[in-house]
Amino acid sequence: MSGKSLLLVFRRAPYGRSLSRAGYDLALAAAAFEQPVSLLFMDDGVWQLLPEQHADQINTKSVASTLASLPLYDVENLYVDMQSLDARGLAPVELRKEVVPLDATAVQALMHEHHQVLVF
Amino acid sequence: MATLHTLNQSPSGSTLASCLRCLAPGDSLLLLEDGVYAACSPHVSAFKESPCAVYVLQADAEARGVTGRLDPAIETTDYRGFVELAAACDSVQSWY
Repeated sequence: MSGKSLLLVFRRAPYGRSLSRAGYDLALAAAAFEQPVSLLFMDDGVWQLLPEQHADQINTKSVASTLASLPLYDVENLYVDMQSLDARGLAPVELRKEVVPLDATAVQALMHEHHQVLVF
Repeated sequence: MATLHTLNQSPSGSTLASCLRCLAPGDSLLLLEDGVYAACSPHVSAFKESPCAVYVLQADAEARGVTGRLDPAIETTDYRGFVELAAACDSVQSWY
C-alpha cells in the first residue's frame, strides 16, 4: 500500500511543550500504516537533534531515544535546515549522524515533493 | 528590592528581549526549561551588557544536551540553588 507522502516539520525545542511528542506519535502511526514519512527539523526544532539528552533529569522520556527508534518503523528520511543550525551556532557534525543537512533551496524542494506537510 | 527573574522560553521568541529590558542592577536571572538555550552561543551575547548575575538550571541543561555548550560566564545552579536565590530576593518574576 503506498499512501500520500507526509512531511512532518519540527519547529519547537524538545521538552518545553508537548507538541513535538505529538509529531513523533504521528510519525510512528503513519509508518505503522505504511505511509511514507519524512521529518524536517528547523528553527528551534534543531535542538531535538543534539545527542546526550538526559531527559531523566526532568522526569521525562528522551527525544533521542525516540529518534533512535524511528528506523525500526522504516522512518529513515531525516533532514535539518542548515540556516537554523547556523543561527544557533550548531554544526551538522554535532548532531545525530543520520540527519541530512539541507540548504534553503533544498528545503523548498522537500516541501514541494511531499503531498502533505504538517508542522509541529 | 532585588528581584529574581526566571525565564523558561527559548531565545527565538520575544520573551528574552522583554525580560532583559526589565532587569535592574542587583536583580538575578535564572534560565530554566527552554530558557537554557539562551545560555548557549551565540544567544549569550545578549547578557554581556546585563547588570545582573545570570544562572542556568543544571537539570534542564542536562536534559536538553547543552551542558557542553553553556557559556562559561554563566553560572550553573541546581534546585537547591534555585530555592536559595528565591529566598535571597524580595520577589520572583516569571517570564513565560
